[in-house]
Amino acid sequence: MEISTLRDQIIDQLIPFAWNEWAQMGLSATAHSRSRWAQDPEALIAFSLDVARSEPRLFDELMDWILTNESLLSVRRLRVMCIDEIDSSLIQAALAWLADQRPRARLAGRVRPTATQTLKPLFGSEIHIEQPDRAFASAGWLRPQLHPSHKSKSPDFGEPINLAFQLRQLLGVGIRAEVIRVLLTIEAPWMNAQALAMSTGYAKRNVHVALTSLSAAEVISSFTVNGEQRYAAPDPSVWASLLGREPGDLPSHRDWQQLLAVLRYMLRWSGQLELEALSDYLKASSARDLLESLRSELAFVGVPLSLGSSPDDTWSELKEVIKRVLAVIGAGQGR
Amino acid sequence: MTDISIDSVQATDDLLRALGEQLAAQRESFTIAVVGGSALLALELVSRATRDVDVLAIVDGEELTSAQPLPAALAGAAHTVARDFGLSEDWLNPGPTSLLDLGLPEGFFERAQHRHYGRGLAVLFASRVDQIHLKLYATVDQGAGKHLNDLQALAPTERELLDAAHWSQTHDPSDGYRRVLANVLAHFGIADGNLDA
Repeated sequence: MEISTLRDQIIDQLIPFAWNEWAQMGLSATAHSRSRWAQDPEALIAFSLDVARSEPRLFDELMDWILTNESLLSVRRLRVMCIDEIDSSLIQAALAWLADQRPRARLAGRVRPTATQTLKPLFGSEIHIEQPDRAFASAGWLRPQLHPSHKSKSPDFGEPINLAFQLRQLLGVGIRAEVIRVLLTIEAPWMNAQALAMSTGYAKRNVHVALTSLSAAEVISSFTVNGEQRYAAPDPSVWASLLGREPGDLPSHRDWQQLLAVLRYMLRWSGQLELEALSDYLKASSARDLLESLRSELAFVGVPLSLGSSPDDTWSELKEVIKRVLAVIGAGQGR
Repeated sequence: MTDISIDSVQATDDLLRALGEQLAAQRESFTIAVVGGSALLALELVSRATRDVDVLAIVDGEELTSAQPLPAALAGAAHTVARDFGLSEDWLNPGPTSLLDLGLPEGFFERAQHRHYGRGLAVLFASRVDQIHLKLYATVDQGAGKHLNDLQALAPTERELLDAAHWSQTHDPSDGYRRVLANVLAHFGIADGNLDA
């Protein structure tokens, strides 16, 4: 059981995936295929900042894209997408760098400077860096000074992947744009506030308030079943027309927050060097810990998990689950 | 959890090695004394499936102490192994530990077979002679069935059965026990009179 090999295989599929997604969203790169889903920008940023530590050029172009399109992003949602301290410090670093480039109150960080000797190499390299980037250093990361390439563009609203940005321009960066994005794209006749909270990354209470307003405005419909308030999608043809799209040409939905979090958890797990020294049984047992801990997220994104009764089964299932998750996001499909 | 059985020397070794690895990973270490079907399997004295590993005692040096309840680290590691191998939660249990209350056959510790399962676990398997003692007691105390089958598979001599019978009466000196004991010995062709020899 070579965990590092498994990790390399995952990374090898995620980096092209990330390039392709961002290329369709305005980052300076060539898209090799057209995604049919609506992307969740903050979920993809949190994911990409981590994955791109293995691809510095993607990391730097992503930072340039964030700088160009900062007004379309939710700082609050960026923080919600973090699964652990690594994510938090990467987001902190990105926001600190943004604040340096474009001072704005909403970007002003609450980052405490980290002592230089504790800085961790951002790109995994130990080479000496003459002038570390100050903003990244403030969040504990060591990297050369980052200068924006200014090659990024605004998202093309005609692309399915960019529905979130179009809705944000229409409704503002906030909860209503996210609720409408999910309700318009998900293949479900109705949703409740809890599921919408999980899909949008907002608190259930705030989602409920937004849904009540949207319902009062007759933008969405609501009904009650067994005491549970349910919300039906708005008329897609009306919204397609409003958004300048062909009827039936609305993108599909993915629960990006959970999908990309699951992949990061898998990368964290497979990146533990100490696992390599363990016996095959302990590796499988650790893999089972991982899969058990991801059970609810996997269920939420519709990826089945079937754990057998032997360590060998667990290892096979881990590889199957990875394959299924990568298939859901379309990674490794000839890009 | 499913109810998967332990049906071979290899299966017993795999489980105990897994338990030892889990313990070592937690920087824990235990020596346990094991009796019953899994011990018979491990020592290749019988070949029948069992559902559990009966822990007679926690061993500290040459001292055997009660395994009830199992120490938390051992129970935790056993829980993980149960999950990983699809075993019932009580696959490692201190069921027979009350045997310690009235004493084990003399020389039990010296006769036991000592095996290591990594740095985290060592197991003392009750020897054939001691298994005869325990199985005879279990047959009389709990009824025939698997215990009698195991006892027959151990092919005890008359001397071994009589020694076991005398020891078992220290655990239950009642007339009722003696009557059932005599019946069991008769099953092995030993006359009642020999019990008093």
